[in-house]
Amino acid sequence: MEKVLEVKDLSVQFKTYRGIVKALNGISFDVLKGEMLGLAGETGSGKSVTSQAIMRTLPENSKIAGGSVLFEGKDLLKLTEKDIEMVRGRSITAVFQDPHTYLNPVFRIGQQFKDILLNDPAISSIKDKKKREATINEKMTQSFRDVKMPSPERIIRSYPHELSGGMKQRVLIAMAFSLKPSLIIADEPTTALDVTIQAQVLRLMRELQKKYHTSVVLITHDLGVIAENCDRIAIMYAGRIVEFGDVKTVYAKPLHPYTQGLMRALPRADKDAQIESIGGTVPDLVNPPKGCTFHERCRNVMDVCKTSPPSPLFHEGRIVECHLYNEPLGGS
Amino acid sequence: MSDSDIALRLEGLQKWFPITGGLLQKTVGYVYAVDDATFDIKKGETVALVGESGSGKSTVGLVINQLERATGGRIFYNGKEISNLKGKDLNAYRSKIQMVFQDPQASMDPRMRLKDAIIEVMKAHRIEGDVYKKAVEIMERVGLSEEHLYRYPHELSGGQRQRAVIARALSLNPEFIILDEPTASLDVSVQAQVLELLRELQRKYGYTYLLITHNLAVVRYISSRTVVMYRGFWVEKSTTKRLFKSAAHPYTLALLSSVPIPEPGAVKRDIILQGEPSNPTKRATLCPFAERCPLIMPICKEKMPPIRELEQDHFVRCWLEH
Amino acid sequence: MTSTNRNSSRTGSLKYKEFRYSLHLLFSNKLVVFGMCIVLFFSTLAIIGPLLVDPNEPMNVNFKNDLLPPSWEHPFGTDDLGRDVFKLVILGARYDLSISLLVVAIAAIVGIFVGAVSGYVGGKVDELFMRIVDILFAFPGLILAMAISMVLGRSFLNLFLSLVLVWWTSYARFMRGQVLAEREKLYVKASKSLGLSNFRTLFRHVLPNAVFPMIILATMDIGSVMLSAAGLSFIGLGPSPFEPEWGTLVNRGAPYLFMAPWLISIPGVTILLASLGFNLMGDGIRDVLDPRLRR
Repeated sequence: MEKVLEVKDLSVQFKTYRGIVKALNGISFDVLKGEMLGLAGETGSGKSVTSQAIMRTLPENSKIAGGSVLFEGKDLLKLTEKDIEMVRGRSITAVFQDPHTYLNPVFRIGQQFKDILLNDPAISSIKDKKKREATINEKMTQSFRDVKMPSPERIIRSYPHELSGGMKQRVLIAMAFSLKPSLIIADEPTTALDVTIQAQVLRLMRELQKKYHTSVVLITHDLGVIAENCDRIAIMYAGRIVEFGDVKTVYAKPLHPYTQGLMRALPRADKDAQIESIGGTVPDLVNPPKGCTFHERCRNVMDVCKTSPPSPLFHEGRIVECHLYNEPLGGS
Repeated sequence: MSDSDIALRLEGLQKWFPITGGLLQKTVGYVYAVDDATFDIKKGETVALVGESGSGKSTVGLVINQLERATGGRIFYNGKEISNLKGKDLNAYRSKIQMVFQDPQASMDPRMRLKDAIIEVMKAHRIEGDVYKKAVEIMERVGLSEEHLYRYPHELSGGQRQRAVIARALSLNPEFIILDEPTASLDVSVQAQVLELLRELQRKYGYTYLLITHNLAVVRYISSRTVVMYRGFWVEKSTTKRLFKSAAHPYTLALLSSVPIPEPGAVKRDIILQGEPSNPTKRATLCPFAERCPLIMPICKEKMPPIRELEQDHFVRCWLEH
Repeated sequence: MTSTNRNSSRTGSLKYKEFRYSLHLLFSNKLVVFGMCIVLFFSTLAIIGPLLVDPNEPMNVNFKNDLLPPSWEHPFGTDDLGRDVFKLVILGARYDLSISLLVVAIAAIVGIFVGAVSGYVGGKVDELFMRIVDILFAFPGLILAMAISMVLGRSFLNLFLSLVLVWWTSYARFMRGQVLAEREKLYVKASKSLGLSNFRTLFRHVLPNAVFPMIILATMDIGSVMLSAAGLSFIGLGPSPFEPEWGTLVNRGAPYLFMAPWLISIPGVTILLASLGFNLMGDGIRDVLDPRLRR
């Protein structure tokens, strides 16, 4: 299948007063056309840094220490600031966790939406002002219908504070899909919402994604959300992708001890289940432990884990980074 | 169930927050945060209070702790009415009832070492004996060590911080602990540690918990009975087992079916609610859930629904015949 | 327990690293270092000035030597009373530094107290205090200070009093805002639920957290107080001519602007330099203490 995005060996570091934080240490994954890829991980695993690196919105004190991000044949990391702006907001768009901070409180929704639509040369190149306004209006109305907003005209005229959290998140989704991007990065899009609203919003995203055949990277800490919505899953831990594969197989038989631990730690709403925590805490990424970053918390730890970091292995149809599975990486 | 088993009883608890406006700060309306919270909590059990934001569940916790005074209704603790306690009696009551908030970082003074924070609380309640030794003992109870007493909150990890907050609550030898979203800000692996700890503490020391949360998976894991709230009203209450197996209220059903299940292809009921809860500044005179109910009937638009007992200890506030 | 021990050494070194980073921030800015040098220089003068030169110089009136231009004997020349300006400027450091530090300290203490009570108690007390602050705030600071010191009469003490009266209001307002913000924080609610008294919560938790930003405000204020003090003395509302406060010196020199320009320019530049030093240092301290300005 066609690859929309290919991240290869990406490393990102942050300079802080404590020293250099090695936030991402050589992660590789790809996003296929029309798929929803789940990026799961706990705080500090590097999932949000990954999205920032792809969008080139990393903070100033960060540095891309290596790797490449191929999108439509171009390495996004090598583009000039001007060129990346042509990609960002048009071919790649984003939905964030907190719509309150993303929407500007002093402008009407319509005004903010218009600015986004003007990113599209097909719209901004319309010379006749009346015709342009009409096109924009039509586009906005269409987008709001897509996200099942009852009265688009009213939304266009409202200010962000006049909308509820769920409505705002729909506005963001409408904006993200409006230019028919090939990739959408959704960073914890429903974390701030209540469960019943979360269910609405996720269903909507999935419908639109199917309708427009868009690829979506869904970043979340909620393994339930990924199980219900994604095709493939990448599990991140301490700046690495430790397991990457098809959602069904990964959930049915997790290979990496960290993934196994996560699955055991989850309380379930659908059945009575015992839980078991993973001892210890996430490592400090300024001084990451030698060898495998998970070995201090791993129940299957072996001598080799303490000295040499595992490399990605192809095992049972997926990629796993663990010394337990020592078949060499085949093909690809 | 005999009354002596009951630790806490809420009878028609109400809490309205006045909205003031104008030059003279006159009350121009109310936010009807809690309009009817009625339930019992037995000694040594865990009752979960479930609902979405705006359901009033957190306000119930604040009122029980008397951080907010109730507008109406009654609260009994060990058979004694507590809504009018003042001064010494209030302090004595508060030392029995402790609260753990969602955000452990924010609920600790950033400029105080754990040692000072914990000892301060014990001293304020005139706890006798070697308070330092007690503090160490409590730290060990929650899985921390003496060394952690010398740390500032920001020097702890998220899980350790929540343990520290629990330790501070335990320092007064409480009987009853209100847990307000205790794991909402924690990662899955850490959440499991805290949940295990809470269970173990209950087993060892017999604490009674009121767990306030929106997370149904946590509810199912830890609580023995569950109360579901919607816009200030309890709408369904039963044992957790029964509620998860045969919930009756449409809102409970919708909540249950909205929880994402970490199992691809899992079969579940498919109820996606439309809309969002309306503004709580209007007092509900009909079923508060009527605005979003997928099973709405004509009568729901006429009268407040009755309270029915479906089976022993399973109550529901709904017009639907079950 | 090995893991916890390792953790403790880690946090220990972390604190040390943070401290070192703060120092690094403070010293990496050349302007801040320059400011600190100036402050250090004038503080030294203020402390040991009377040992370096004759402390009785201001009384040393000698009309035979009046208005002498700078020379080896009198590096900054002499004034209309025949006093050595170099010595007067050195002796003046003590006056100017002490008045600005004292004004800031007292104004901050008064302001913090009023603001804290106002913010924490609220209601009528708050209303009363804040209206007083509003009234004082409504006048331009310098003009109010002028009016007050005119009413009180010319003296070092009155200059100090009038400046405190003008300055405490901004601290009170700022502190009130801090307390209001702090009061809403979860830990305050938590300490109430733990049964701690209001009094204890205010003094042990709210105040220490709210006072911290005030320290930043205070360090930034020293320079401007110094300027205002000098300004008031310049227009004749400062101490007597026998107290060599820098603004007073400028005031004494004003009539001789063309005959003896050193009389006005040298104390003037001194005032400028000293307040610049404090302002630069204040900026640096703010950058270090305020984590929001950190990268």
